[in-house]
Amino acid sequence: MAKNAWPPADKTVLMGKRIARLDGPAKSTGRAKYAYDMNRPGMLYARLLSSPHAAAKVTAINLDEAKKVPGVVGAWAEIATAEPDNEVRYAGEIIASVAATSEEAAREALTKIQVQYQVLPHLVDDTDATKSDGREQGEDKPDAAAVDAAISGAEVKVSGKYGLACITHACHESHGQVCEFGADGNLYVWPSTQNVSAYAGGLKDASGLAVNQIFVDCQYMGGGFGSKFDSGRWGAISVRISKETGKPVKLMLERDQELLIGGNRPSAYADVTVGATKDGTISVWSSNAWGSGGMGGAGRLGVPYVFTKIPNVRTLSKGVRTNRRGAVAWRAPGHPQACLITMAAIADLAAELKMDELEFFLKNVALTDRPEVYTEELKIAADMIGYKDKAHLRSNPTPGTLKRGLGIGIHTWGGIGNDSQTEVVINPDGAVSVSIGTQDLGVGTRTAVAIVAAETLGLPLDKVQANIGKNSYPPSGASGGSTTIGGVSASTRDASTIALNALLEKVAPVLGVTVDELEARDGKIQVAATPSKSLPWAKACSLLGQMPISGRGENKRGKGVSDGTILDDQGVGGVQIADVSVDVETGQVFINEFVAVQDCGRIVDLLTAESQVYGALIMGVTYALYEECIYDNITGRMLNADLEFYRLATLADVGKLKVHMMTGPGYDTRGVIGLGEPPVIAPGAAISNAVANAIGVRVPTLPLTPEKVLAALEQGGKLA
Amino acid sequence: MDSETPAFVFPCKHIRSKEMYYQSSTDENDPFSSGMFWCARTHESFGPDGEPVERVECKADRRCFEE
Repeated sequence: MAKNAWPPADKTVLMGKRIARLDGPAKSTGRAKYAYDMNRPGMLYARLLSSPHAAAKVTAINLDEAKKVPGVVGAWAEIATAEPDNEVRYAGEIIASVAATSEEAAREALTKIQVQYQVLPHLVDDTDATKSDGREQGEDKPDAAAVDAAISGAEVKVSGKYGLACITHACHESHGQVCEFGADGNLYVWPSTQNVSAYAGGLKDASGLAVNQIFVDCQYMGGGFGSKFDSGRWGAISVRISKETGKPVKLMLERDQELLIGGNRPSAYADVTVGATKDGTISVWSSNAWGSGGMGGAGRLGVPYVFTKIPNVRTLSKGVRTNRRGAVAWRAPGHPQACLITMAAIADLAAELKMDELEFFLKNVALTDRPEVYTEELKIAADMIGYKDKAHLRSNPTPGTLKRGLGIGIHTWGGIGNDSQTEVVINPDGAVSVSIGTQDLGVGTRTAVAIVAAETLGLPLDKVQANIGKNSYPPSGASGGSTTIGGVSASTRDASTIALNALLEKVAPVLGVTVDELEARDGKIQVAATPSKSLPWAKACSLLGQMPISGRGENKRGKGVSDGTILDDQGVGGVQIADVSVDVETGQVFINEFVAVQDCGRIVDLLTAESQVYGALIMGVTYALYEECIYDNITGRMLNADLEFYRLATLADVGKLKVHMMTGPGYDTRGVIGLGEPPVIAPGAAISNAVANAIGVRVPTLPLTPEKVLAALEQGGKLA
Repeated sequence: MDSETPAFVFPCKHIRSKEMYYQSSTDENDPFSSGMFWCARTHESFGPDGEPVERVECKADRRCFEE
């Protein structure tokens, strides 16, 4: 009888190997259809009008001229014009919508809408907490007097201000969907979402339908990063327009709106004092932090990060309410911010001690939750980047105007598997279908599902059909918090095992053995002790007669699969070291090499796991060096809502990337853990520390633009 | 119910967080939860009344609250 427990890593045929994505050819040839690629007969194109004002009251909306544009089918006010619901709270907020038979007509109609605003005072500057009207979220731990005493008693201490600007998600595929009411009265939706199984719930009110009448299909999607759980106002508006007009509707955000309202990773700033003994043991941490998540909260900021066992800690934090789009979860919410603030302060302390940064991290690794993992990873990362040959103290910079430096960042994440169900069907002809209501954000989930099923059934990968992306399949959790791979691997293993055991029941009497003596391997059902005694897979499946068999597997978060076996896990650590050069005449930062060492438990597909880390490093370089939502304090508008001035890294910018995945005892003997979050946490910290090591002073905030680098050099590292 | 047991307060039915979509229960002290919320009516981080959406904020004394 097949068991759910994972086979030993050295006994697997597919799991843990480097396997290319199954949908790679479809994506690279354009056969893969994204939401925007969906076109329905008679489809209308909807567009949204955004407020140009950061704070205002709408007193009138005139849609008459918009409705006269040829091809326009309708125009609608999306905000009230009377108290108390007529207030606009950020520039970009949706004011009106139009639908037309062409995109051009819809765009033209937007220009004809006349809106009267009563402009109100606004606040978009989040860098100065004293200007805030935000509410306090502070907490003291432990008592302030003990921390003050520890600071006074610290043999070495540094104080500094550190922070990260607000960034947006900048998804290459913008938010939106195509929707259509069928002749059967049901609603069919093709969205870009990271939440296939539960997406329909967000459209229930707009459609007037029960959730089981809303059919969602998302086979491919181009980036969500935490911003595509909800159907959004745009989703509800497009359904309402479709219902009212009786036509299919496509509503995808335009690029400027995507950057304005598609997402918002909150900013975070902190005044930090950190102290240590002369031998370099961190003894005290005190921080006063603030950040802005628009008109809502700024989320969690857990400092000191990773070094959670520092003995004397006081943290205060405050949300600054600004007239910006509200906070939206961005990969590892709060962690990149907490990591930068903590690692920068700690590296500055090492510099003050005139202690090597790697030596300092190793010395204090006992203050983390995973000292053994971080110690091993720090040493591997140091070897990979040639730390011993390149390292120098911050006080001893390299000669010339192109300064070179190394910087370290370490991170942690949970990543326990989500609630997930899978159905595996084995057909009499041997064909296998795996169906699960999960989604592939481009990271290889479809491939991972197929690998787990094929490994369990002893089949080549191409003999398994993986069906994902529809809410008509068994429900599986949204892709958030790095929970997908753990959940879908576990439920797929469970379903495959259940289906396989049903097949083994048919085969056992034919081979004259008990079910317990059989295994599926190499395309056969065989007696484990006597592999020559076997039936080819197709022959074995022919014993089913004319009826397929199926298995339904389920993973419950933290409780395992149907027989209680735990196949996922949680808690990972990673280390990253950046090697940068900084031109002290121009302020430009260049990435020479960037090394990531990552633990993620049992690896399903080594190639896509490494790919996840490479992608995270590129995204990390982007937010470390370039990304920032630049707001004009006078108008309250975002000035760079496009991909020309909201710059993303290109391959020419990222340097030589090296990834090492931790395997072997203690790593692949664990369950499966997600990777979406962990490797994107530390790049900002590692690159900031490398720049400080190179130029001898701290650039206090990300992104590390030439202007900020030059200012830091001029001001000796103090924030202006 | 024991008189010393605090009454369970239902949050507004329109409050959402990403964690609701992949785990059956949420722990506010989980260091890996986002601490970010939105309103299913406005699809914004503020409710129909313009006030922030948060678990402790979305309670019965707001005009937009629905249990």
